[in-house]
Amino acid sequence: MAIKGLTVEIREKSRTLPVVRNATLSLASGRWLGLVGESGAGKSILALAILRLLPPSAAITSGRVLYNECDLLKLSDGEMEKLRGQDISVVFQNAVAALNPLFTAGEQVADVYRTHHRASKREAQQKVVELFAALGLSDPESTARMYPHQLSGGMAQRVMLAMALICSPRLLIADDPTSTLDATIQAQVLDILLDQVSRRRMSMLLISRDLRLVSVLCSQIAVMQAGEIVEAGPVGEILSRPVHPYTKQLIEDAELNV
Amino acid sequence: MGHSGGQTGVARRQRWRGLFLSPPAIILAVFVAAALFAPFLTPYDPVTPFLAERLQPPSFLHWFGTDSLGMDVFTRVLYATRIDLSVAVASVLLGIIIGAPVGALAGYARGWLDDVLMRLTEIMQAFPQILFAMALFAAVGSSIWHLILILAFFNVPVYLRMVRSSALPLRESEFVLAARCAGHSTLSLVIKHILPNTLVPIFSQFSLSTAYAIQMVAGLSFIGLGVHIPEAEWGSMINLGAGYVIFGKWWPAFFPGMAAFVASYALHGLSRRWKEFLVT
Repeated sequence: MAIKGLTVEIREKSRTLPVVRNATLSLASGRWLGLVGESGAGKSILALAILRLLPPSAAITSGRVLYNECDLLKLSDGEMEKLRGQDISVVFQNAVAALNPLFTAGEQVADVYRTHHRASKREAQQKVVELFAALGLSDPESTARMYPHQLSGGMAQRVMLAMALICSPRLLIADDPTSTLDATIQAQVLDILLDQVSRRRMSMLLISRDLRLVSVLCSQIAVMQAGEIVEAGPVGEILSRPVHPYTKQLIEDAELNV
Repeated sequence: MGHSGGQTGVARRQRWRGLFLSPPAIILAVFVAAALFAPFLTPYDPVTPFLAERLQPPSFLHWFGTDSLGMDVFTRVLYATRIDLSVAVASVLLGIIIGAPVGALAGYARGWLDDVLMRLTEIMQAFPQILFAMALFAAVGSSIWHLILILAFFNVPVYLRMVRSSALPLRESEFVLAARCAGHSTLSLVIKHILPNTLVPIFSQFSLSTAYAIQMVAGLSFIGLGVHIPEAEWGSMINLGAGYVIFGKWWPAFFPGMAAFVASYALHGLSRRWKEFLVT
């Protein structure tokens, strides 16, 4: 996956605001790229732009998003729908809000499987229970029958993760997946996520505010500030020889927290 | 509905009891029972005139008296419940079936589709309904089916706009975004994720619309459109009895009028109870 010169602008009445400016990134198959930056830097917008799911007020004004050598921005809506969930999927920050309150956890995940595969409800349900078990949900069958408001934060995050993984995508975009959880649960969920992603040899774009986390997990880092990718490269290089002042600041802050 | 998660079984049961054992719900149950069991509740036929017993005052034999054709008013009020309730409910349901999905789509898709639909509903709602219904009846002839279609026509814009306005915040919600990320098409998003989440306001509007539809059925039949004499219907019964009120024979018009009043009052009450049920 690669992003080339991507610019996203938000139109607001008469003026336009660039929220992502000329962003260029590349992520080799099976590698993990960490995208760090403070909130409001445009990280999430960048992620949504890859999937072409920007809010109506925002639009991609230039650039290319390449995936398997084809430009995602040129695909038809139907082709794009097929690709979402099947090839590229997303894990969000707030899992409880990302689940429809009217359906059980199992139904929702099974439904995603059935939008991409021909399968009976029973088969899909079976798949879901297996995946729930693999994600460390202690009682997968009863979790599948629970509604989102009955799930704990950690359970909801695992259900969300199951929704992203059920169709075995090749690329996972993890948008700050654990920041709403308690520290201990955070570590557990992160462990499971990383275990699954590495076992499936998936690529991952990990979006985070936490430089330390990203530098431990990922082989590549991109630093984003005010809509621009100010620095990108292999972790070791960036940590030892940061060029941009903002990156230096981030590294200093991360070390202060130790 | 997230509140119910933290409640104990007892508290939840009490809330449901407060809804279903409330006076409006019980009154409506009585009306439904009257409609279902009308033939078993009265020995008389609702549409056979018996001129020897014209305009008998209420008595032990005729609880609500008899009308100007000698038909038992109590019997006719019971049988009329069938027509009034079923026409009202059918027309509202039809309005929901058409209006709700279209409204959900308009609210989700926005853009020109939304604009066109909103302007259309405004045009539909700008007509005075009784006048518009009279004109339509004049064009297509009056029958019960036409009555249902015309009332449904009035209900479509109500539900279309209501569902649209609840779909607007939903389209920005995270679970809709998550569902799109998982590859759902627009159609399946609207059907599976938007529409089910607009059911709550639909429910509370449903009994209000039904009350209004009952008033419309009775009103139109009163002026001779929709349901015709001697068919038992509250509005046409009032019409039949109205001329005799000034002679002191109040009962042929009074009882069907009371029935229509109590039914719509109960439906209004139920709507209010339902809203209270949702916020507690």
